Amino acid sequence: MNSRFSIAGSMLTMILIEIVPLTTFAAAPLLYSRMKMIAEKEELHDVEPDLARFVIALVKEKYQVTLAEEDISVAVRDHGAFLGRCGRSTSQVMRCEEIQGAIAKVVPREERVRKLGRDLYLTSSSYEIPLSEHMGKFAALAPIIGSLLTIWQSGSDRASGTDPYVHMSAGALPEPESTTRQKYDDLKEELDTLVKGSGTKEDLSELSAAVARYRFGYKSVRAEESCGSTGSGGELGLLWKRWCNVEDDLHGIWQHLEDSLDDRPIPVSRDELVLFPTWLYKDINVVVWVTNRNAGIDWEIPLEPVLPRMLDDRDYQQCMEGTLGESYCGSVYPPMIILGGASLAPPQTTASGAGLCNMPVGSQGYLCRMIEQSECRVFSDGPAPTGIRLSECKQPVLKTPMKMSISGPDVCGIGGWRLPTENPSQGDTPVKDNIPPTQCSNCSVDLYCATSCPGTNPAVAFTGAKQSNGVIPICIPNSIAGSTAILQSVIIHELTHAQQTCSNPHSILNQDLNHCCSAEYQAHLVSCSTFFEDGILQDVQIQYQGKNLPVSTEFCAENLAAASCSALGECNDSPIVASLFLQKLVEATNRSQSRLGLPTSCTDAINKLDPRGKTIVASLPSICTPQCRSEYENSIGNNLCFVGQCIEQSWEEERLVPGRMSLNVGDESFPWDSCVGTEPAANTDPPSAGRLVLPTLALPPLPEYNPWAAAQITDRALCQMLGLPPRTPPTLCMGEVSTQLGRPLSDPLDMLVNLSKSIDAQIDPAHELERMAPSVGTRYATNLYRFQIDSLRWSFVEIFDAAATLLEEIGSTSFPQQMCSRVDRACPYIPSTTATP
Amino acid sequence: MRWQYALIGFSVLIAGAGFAAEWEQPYPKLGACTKKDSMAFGATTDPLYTQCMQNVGDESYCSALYPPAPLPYAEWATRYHKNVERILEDFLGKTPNDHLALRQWRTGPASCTQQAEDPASPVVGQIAATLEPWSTGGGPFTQADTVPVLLEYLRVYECSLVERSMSLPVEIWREETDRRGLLPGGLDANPFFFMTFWETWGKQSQDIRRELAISRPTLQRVLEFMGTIHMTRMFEQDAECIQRASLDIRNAIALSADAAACLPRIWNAKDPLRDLPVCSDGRDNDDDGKIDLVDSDCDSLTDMSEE
Repeated sequence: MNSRFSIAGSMLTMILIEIVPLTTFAAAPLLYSRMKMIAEKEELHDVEPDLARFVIALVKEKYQVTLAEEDISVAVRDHGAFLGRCGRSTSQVMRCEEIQGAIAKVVPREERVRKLGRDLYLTSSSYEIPLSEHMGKFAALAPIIGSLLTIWQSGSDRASGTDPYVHMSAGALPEPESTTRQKYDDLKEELDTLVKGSGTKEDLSELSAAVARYRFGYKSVRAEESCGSTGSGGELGLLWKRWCNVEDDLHGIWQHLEDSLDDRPIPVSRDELVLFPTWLYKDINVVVWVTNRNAGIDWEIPLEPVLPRMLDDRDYQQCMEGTLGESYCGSVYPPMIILGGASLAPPQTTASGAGLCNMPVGSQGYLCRMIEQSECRVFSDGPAPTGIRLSECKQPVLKTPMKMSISGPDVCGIGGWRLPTENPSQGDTPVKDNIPPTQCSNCSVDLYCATSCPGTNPAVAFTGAKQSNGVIPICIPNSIAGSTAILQSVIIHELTHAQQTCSNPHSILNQDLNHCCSAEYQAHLVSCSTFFEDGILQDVQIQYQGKNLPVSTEFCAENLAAASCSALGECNDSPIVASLFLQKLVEATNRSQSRLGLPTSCTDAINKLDPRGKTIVASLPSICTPQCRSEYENSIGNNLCFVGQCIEQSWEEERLVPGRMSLNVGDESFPWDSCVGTEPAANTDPPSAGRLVLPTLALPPLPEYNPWAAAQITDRALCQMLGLPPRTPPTLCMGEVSTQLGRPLSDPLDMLVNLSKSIDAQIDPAHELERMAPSVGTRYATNLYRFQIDSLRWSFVEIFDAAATLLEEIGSTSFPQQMCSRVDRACPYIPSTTATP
Repeated sequence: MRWQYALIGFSVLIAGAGFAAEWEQPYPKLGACTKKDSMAFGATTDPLYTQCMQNVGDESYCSALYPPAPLPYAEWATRYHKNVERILEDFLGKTPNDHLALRQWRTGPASCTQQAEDPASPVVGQIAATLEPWSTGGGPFTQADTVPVLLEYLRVYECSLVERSMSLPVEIWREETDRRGLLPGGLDANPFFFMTFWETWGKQSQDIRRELAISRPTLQRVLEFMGTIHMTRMFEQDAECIQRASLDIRNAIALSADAAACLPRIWNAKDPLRDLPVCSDGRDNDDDGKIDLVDSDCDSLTDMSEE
């Protein structure tokens, strides 16, 4: 007896051990439980609450019978049980059979739509998981890519490249922890109220809509008019609802973290993005991200999409918030049924500064800005393919060359990548100073203000030719088109011209249309990049054919170059009148004057020279001149700028081969130089001079984001599995029974059975394919990333290859043992039989 | 005699139910199953084994007499789902600070210089040890082994459920009898035996259908997510390695830049450093007392062969 009790006791202990973790399991469902719950919702016909409410409303409208939510599940699962329950709730017992039949038809159809929606979300999340830019969220690539950019990019790239630079840093959660935690706990409480029910009856429609609403930050939502909005009508109306308390709590968190940055030793710069650690609410699968600019919520792992709404009960809910009671609200404001059957309008292109394009890194993606011509290797021509087209390459922006050079590639010749090292004895003032260059530089600039400037148009700025003492005078008018705010970027533009003419004749700026367009385009690219960085370009409101044009850096440079060279001809075929663009740009700049503290006069602009302008002035001196110091931020790009400029300076100014300047190939003074023996610089194969040409970089092409093609492949696979040719829509393949009808069997019963089996045989592959679709999505995404990474890797390889060759050549420089004969001009030495004089 | 009729009738009923179950269950297409498959969910010690050990104390004797029994059916689902959940959570990584989203899925820094696969969750090894393909060993298990082990685990789970459903009444009868046998005396003659039996039969039949319906779709979703995350982690690791390599490259290029500062001076220095040809260097190169053109081996201006 005792032993039996002890056994029973031990069993009880075992049960308790098993129960304890189960209790925890129920309190905070982990990811697996959530996935299992979704499967249960889909497979067990345990009708979801919102679907049940929809069916109840349908039944009530058509049959005037009020059912409970539980009745709907029973109607789907158990025909007989439903008839019993139905009979108790209505006098129209005879119609119960009909009601059950209707419910059994509607529910699976709606469940199928919801299942497809979830599968589609799962598939698309394969793409989206790694694209997160929230620090600490797992598998988020964007922060690492930001770090890579910092390590690789040169100052010259930042100034003239068309890829805007995102300066990111990490912030810590402020102390004391209890205050911070309280802020997050407040938000959690609000989010918990959006989850209705539990288990398979859990209704996440409000929470998923809130996540979709604040996924890209609460600030843009808060900027909308009224906070009390309950959304709009229609299937997707919930997407426009606002949750004021959630917004307030998000604002509280953001404000608390933003305030903590005041204590940081180094102040946050204007373009800096500070990422705070991402907070996790594990039990509801939601994270909270915060930067110094915005805050929002997102799924940790996206599982639940915003499913189409079937009932519009906004008025009912509003009524219920008062004291009128359910019976009154239910009768006066009955939920409105949203019937399906109508296709919604296709989604609009994401507007600039909205949604994904509101995110600091996401806004740099090709979905949010025009594809720059320099980033496209292949230009699409011919008719547009059928299907969705998210982006495409533009045609070349200029009719003329985009860049011209008379002495090699001019490595990092445009833009500022160096820090000031030379302290001129006298600073540049708004009047003519005429400060000559130091021994380290071929030129110096002298910015001065004037009512009218030299040049063809006295109302615009002008960069003069280098004077005999090396000074390049730059005249800045007191205002341009009535604006002083724009002078900041105008000065940067003129300083770039000074860079272009520091070691070159002034005529390269305007000797003909080709030179003018290319020189102006490059100089405007630098100033347009500053417009973009300051957010001015995004504010330019210019219309074409009734639509607002997105203005990219290249578009800006192209139109301004056209305006600058209009006297010589047309640089481009832009349908936008260049003067109109300039006017809109000035207007946008004026709008940002107080926000950015832009200059209020020409004197102000020169005295408070923009840091980007200062780096351009600092980049004027020759880099490799002996006894001259250089200083720059330690990045791979800047170091390569240094090496490149040193090599170029050597080729252009030094005597690589004794007796002649290396690039003066027409010089016949020392024709025997070509006979010099193992001279690495002269006789390498290929000639090392070729290395001065930019390496053929394999720029990553645009990813082939082509969902239509993927869908077609899937359709074809379905038809192939059924032994049929491809058809669109693929349902045509599923509905094919002619193969069976074409081979009739003698026994009608066998024929019937065979037909029904043939439909089963068709549905099986369809289900398999449907299950397979998310995996196909994963595979498709893998290929997409692999393609990008491969191209990127090859770019790296080619850069390294070119750099390695150059450095090896430097290292393997051999000094010849004999001097060339200067007596009879005969070759003094023939190194081998193959060498010829 | 009446008992015999009842027994025959009952046998027919069981056979009929089993036959019906076979046709009604949404069975997945599975490999062959055995009753031993359910051992994959763990084993329990026979209470009589405990008694035996208390009385006799000989482990080999007691274990041979009362071998470990498979885990009771009631715990299969809990054990199966909990194990898969643990594997998934281990795969995702733990959040060291419970309120932060940062998940630590790697034990150390990423290996960039050799092909190193991350180890799988320890649960994968424990499960694999109970499954036929890995019963003779096969560890250590890496992340790449997780999918086949989970798929086999699912197959065994489904097989075990199907196998049980085929003879559900017999199994329940046996278990119920055993259970009742352990109850205090007097309850053996419980008049509600058949009621419990029917109730259990109906419930377990429903549970088996439910598990067969949800286990596979759930695991498919799990595997899809694991596949996606595994893929993105590869990219994340690549990016991390590129980041580290970039720092090395930056240092190397910075040194090169330092060296490059000397380039103009190197090029210029080449000119004066060159030796003059032997016929015009003003030296006696072969110790014959003569220099330049009069040097005996310097026959002409082009003669560079004097040594």
